[in-house]
Amino acid sequence: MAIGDNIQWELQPIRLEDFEGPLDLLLYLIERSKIDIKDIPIAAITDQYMSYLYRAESFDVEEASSFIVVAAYLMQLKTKMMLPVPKQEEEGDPREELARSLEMYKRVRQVSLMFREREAAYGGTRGKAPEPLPSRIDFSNDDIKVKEFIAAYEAVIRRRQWRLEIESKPVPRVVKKERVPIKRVLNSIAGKLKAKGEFVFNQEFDPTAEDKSEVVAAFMAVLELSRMQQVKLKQNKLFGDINVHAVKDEIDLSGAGTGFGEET
Amino acid sequence: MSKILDDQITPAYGTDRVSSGKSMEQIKGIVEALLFTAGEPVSINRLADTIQADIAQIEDAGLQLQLDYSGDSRGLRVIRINNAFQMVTDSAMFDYICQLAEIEKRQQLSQAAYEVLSIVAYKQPVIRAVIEKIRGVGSDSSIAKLMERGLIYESGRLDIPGRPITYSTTDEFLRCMGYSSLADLPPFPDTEEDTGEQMSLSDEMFSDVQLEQPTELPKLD
Repeated sequence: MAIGDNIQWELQPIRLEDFEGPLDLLLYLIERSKIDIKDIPIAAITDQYMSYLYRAESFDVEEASSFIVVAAYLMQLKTKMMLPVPKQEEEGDPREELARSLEMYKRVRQVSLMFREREAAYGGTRGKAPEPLPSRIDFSNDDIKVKEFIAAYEAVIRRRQWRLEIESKPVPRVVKKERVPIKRVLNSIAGKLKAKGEFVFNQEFDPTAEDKSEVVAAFMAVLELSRMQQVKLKQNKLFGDINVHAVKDEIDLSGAGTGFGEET
Repeated sequence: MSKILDDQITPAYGTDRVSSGKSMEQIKGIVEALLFTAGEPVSINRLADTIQADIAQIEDAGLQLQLDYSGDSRGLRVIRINNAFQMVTDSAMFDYICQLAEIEKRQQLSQAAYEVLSIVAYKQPVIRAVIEKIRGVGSDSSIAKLMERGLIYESGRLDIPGRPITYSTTDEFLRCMGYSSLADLPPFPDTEEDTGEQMSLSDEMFSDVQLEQPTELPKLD
């Protein structure tokens, strides 16, 4: 090797940012030394690689971590190469995996250069905006059915109005503690189910009521009943009505969880 | 050359194939007008519906237009992207367009982004972990950049623990690269020992990334 070669690489400024990652750096070292990827002198390359890491000017932890992962891998490989392999356990060349990764990365880099060139050649094509013709809008092929569309619109308006009503009311100065015991709602729901067998949640308990504690308690109670397998819940679509069916004629409340049993 | 003679020497566009009663020249003209008006890509189906012509006729007409517009003296091009035609300006005119509009040419993608794009193009749908495994380095920002440019999109989720997002290339990618479809991509270079799934780095190297075999989660008692 000519002396110049050595000096040249000794003096080259090292910036990890110049490399796209550890494999890029490795490929650079290998290509510079004109080594066959399938026959990498692991010890020598590891040393070169490590010296590049040590002398890196900036060390962005996130960026550097991927370089360190590969450094660790190289070290491990180096150790493997030094250890004698028992004859019966020969697994082939431990460098094969690394060679394959580098080969793959090399090809990706090749394709990326091709893409860069192609984008320079074709990326500048521009389409123009459509001519402004009357009645361009055509909903006929759309999946949204008009009825659903109108219903959704109305729901938005309703919610908006409801919010406006709430916001227009003065904020009460005193915040009342008004807890509705779940046990009580549980019992009243059990009574309802015994009488009717089923009911629609949103009709019995008004979610838009000013005081939410009853609705919340009722919802908890219904969930609890469902957990106890006393009722079946059915909701056909998102935000739709919830139907509560009794599974049996009698509602058995004995399995109610703690917190649901006693009145507070 | 008269139109009649033209039809005679190009039997592929002879009157016997034109079921709608329109000649190939007429269809070409209509397609050209529609593409100009639309600006956006127009699907071959839609062109066929509008013109009342066969799909094959539209495809022929589009191909003819592509050839007509391919000369150096034209600043427009007709391109095909999957099953749609679009009339666009020639890429070589972009500098002048930028000057006219007094806009800066937009920044080139980074080398990292091109690498990610290459992997997505050839391995789609592909998850981030595979991209990063092949590149040996994190690729979040490149993926974000490519998404922002509309070159790749989130095409789904893989049915393994964590349900990672898969990425695929878009029609915009095809347009930027001058391809009509993914089938136009050249084969992956130099695949002498590539027997399919050989693109993984050592598992020891990235032992935390387990892809192919979803491990069974330990049961909680």
